[in-house]
Amino acid sequence: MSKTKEVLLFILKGIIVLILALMPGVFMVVKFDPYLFLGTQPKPYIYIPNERFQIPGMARHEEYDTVILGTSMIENFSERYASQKLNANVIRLPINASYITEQKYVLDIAQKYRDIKTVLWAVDYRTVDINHGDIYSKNNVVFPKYMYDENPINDWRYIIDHNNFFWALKQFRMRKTGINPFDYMKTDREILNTWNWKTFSRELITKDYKDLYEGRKSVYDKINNLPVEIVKEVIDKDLIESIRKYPDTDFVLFFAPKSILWFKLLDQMGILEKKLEVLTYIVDEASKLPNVEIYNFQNQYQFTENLDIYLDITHYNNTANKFMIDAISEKKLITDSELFRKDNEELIERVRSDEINNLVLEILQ
Amino acid sequence: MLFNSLEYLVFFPLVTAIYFLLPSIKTRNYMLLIASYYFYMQYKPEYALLMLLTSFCCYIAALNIEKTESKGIKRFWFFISILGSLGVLFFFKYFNFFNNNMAGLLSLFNVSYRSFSIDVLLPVGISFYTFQSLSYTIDVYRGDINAERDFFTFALFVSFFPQLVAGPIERSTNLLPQFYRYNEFDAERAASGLRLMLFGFFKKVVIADRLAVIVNTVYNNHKAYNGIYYIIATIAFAYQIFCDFSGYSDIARGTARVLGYELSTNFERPYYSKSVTEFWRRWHISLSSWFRDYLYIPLGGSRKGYLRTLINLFIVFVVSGLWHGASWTFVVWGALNGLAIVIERVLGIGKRSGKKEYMEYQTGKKRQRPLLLRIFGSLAGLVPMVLTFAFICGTWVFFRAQSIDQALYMLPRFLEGFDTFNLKQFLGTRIILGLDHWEFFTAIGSIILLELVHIFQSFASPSRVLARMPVAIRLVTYAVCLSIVIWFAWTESQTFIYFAF
Repeated sequence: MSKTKEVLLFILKGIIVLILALMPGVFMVVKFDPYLFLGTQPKPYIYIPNERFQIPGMARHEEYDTVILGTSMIENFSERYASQKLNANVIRLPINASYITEQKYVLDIAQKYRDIKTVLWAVDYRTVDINHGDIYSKNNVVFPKYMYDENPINDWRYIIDHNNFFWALKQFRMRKTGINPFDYMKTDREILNTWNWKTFSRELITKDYKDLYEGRKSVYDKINNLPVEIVKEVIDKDLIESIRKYPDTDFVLFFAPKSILWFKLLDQMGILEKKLEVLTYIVDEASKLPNVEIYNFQNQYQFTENLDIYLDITHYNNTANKFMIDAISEKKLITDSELFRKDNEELIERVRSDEINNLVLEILQ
Repeated sequence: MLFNSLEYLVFFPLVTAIYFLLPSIKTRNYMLLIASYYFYMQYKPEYALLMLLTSFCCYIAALNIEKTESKGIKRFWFFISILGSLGVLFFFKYFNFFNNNMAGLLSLFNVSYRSFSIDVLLPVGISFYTFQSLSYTIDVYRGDINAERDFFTFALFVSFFPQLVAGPIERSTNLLPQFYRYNEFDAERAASGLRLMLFGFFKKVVIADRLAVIVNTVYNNHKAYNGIYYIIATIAFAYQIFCDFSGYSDIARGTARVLGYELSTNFERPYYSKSVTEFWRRWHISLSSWFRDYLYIPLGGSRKGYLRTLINLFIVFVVSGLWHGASWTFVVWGALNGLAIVIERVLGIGKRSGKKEYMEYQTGKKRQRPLLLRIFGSLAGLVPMVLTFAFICGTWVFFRAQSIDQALYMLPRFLEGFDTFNLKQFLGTRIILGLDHWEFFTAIGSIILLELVHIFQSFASPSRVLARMPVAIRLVTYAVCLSIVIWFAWTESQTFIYFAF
C-alpha cells in the first residue's frame, strides 16, 4: 500500500471512529433537548432549575404573550395568578443575580420568537450597576452566551456537552420510570425556580442584616457601586433603548419591596441616596416614553417592615408578588417623576426614623 | 496550552500534518522547535526566554566541557551550567521560600533580617526542563555522551512540546538521537499513540478533573469536615494526582509516538506496589531515576557503607520533596517517603520483589505462572498493597494540604466521625462533596473502569488483544472508548497539577 493510501485510510478510520463516538451522545441531546434549546424536547416539557441555561429555550419555545423579566426578585410570581389577573398568557423568565445585559438578551429572544403584548420588568439599582455590555456576576456563575446569541455556528457547544448529555439521560430515565431524584427537575412551570418551600422568618432576615452590617458577609457581593455616570449610561443604552426598540410592546417597570433593613443598610453605607438617584433617573427617562408604566413598591411598609415574610435582607415570599400583580392589574401605585421623588423623601425619612433605628439597635444587640 | 483544550485539538493535528509533509529531518526539527515554543508561549510568552537562556547556557557549557582537556576548565563550565540552570530555578521557585525561612531562622538568634518577597509567577514546567537540560550537561561532563553540535536540535531537546511542561524528564541518550531519525508515517504506530493519548485523556478529564471537586471541597474547607470525609477526599486525591500526572504522561507519550518519537514510561501502576520502595520504582519513574543517577549515586549511593546508604536515600527523598514545591509540606512529604524507604531498607522489605518486577518490566519479560497461582499470589499480595496505599495516602495529606498546620489538624482526625456517619444519607443527597449525585457515581464508576483496565494490563497487552480483532470490531472498540471520554469528560477544564512544579 502506498504511503498516501495508508494516510488516507488512517484518516478515514479516524473519522468513522469519531462519528461513531459522537453518535450516542448527540442522539440523546437532540432527542431529549434537556434545556429546550433546540425545541426538540418531547412534550410535556421537563425543566431544569438552572436559569441561565433553561431560560433562553423557554423564551424560544413556550407559548406566551406577556413576560416577567428580572432577577430572583421575580422568581416567586405565580404565572397562573398573573395570567388570570392580567388577562394574558404570562411567563416568568428570571435569571438570578443577573444584570440588565443578560435580561436584555432574554427580552430580545422573547421579542424575536413571540408576539409580546406586555413586559413586566423588575428594575433595580443592582441590575444596572454594571458597565455597559458586561456580563458579570459576583456569584461566579457561567453565562452560556452561545445559547442567547442566535448564531447557529456555535450551537455545537450545546449538542456536544457532557452536562447536557447527563441531563438528557436523567430526563430519559424520568420519562421511562417516573424517577426524579431529589425532585429536582420540574414538570410544572408554575413551580420552576420558585422557593416557597424555603423558610421565611424574622430570625433569618435579622441574621442576614447582622452578618452584612458586621462584615461577615459583604454587601459588595450584591452591588458593584459604580459611579452614577456609568450607571446612567447603562440605563440609557440598555434599558431605555430596549424599550424604544419595541414600541408596540407595553413595558411595566416596577421597583420591588425589598426589606426596610436593606434600605437601612444602604443608608448606613452612605449609598441610599445614590441608589434612589439612579432609580429616579430611570423614572425620569422611562416616563417620557409612551409605552411605559412604572410602579413603586418600595414604600409599601406593610411588606418592607414585616420581617416575617423575608428569607434574607432582600428576598420576600409570594405574598409580596401577589400584591404587586394585584396592584399592576388594578393600576394602583403607578408612579411618575414627581410622585417618586416624594416617595423617596418619605422612604429616607422612614429609614432614619426612631422606630427603624430602635429596630436596628435591637437586632444588633 | 493545555492538552485538554480546544486549542490543542487544533494544534496537534496541524503540527502532525505539517511534520509529515516536510521533506527533511532538519526542516521537521525547525518546525517542531517553533511549534514547541509556540506551545510554551501560550502560558506566558516572556518565560520562553528563560527556557532559551537555560538551553543556551547548557549548550555552550557542554561544548566547552567537551572541547577542553583541562579538568579545571571542564569543572568551570560545568559549574557555569549548573549555576545558570539552578540559578533560574532557585530565583523563580525557591527564593521567597528560602528568604522567609532565613528570616525566621535568624530571628531565633535575635538577628534582625528584613525579609522581602519577589512577586513573580512560577514559569510552567521550569523544574522539568531544568532537570532535563542538567542531566545533559552532567552526562557530557562525565563523558557519557558527546555534546550536541547543533543548537536548534538541542533547543528542541529541551523544549519538545509533548513532554515540555510536565515530563517525562527525558535523558539526552534517549531523546536526542531520535531527532536525527527520519520518521515515516506509520499507521500502526500512530494508532498506538492515539490509544495512549485516549487513555491519558480518560484519566485526566473523566477521573482527575471530576475528583478535583471532591478534594477541593474538603481540603479547601477542612474544618467543616471530619474523619470519613478526610479519608474519602484523600483517596480521591490519590487517584486525582495519579490520573492527572500519569494522564499527562500518557498524552505526552502518545503525542510523541504519533510523530514517531518514543518517550520514557513514567508510571507503572504504582498503587499496585507492595512496598513504598516499589512504589517509587513505579511512580514518576523519570524523576526517580534522575535522582538515582544524578544525586544518589554522586552522594555515594550504597558504596559508602550501610549507614551512609540510608542517609543518602533519605536526602534524595527530602530533595525530591523540595523539587515538587517550595513549601515545608512538600519537604515533609518527601521526608516521610524517605523515612519509609529507609525503614524498608533496614527491614529488607520491597527490595527483591520490586527489583525483580522492575527488571521484568525493563526487559519486557513477563513470567507466565499458572492462572490459579497468579490469582492466589495477587490475593496474598493484597495486604502489603493496601498497607502501602494507606501509607502513601497518609503522605498525600501533606502534599495536598495548604500548610503543615492543616495536615497536622487533619491527620489525627482521620478516624473520627465514623459513629455519626450515615452512608445512606451521605449517598442520598443531591450534591455529594461538591459533585452532583450522578457525577459522584460517574467518578466511582470511572475509577472501577480504570482499575479493570489495570488488572487487564497485568494479564495481557491491550494493544496485542486489539491487534488480533477484526478491523470493524477494533474501530467500534475505539469509538466506545472515545465516546466515554467525550461524553463523560468533566467540562470545567482544569490545569495539570504538575504544571505547578
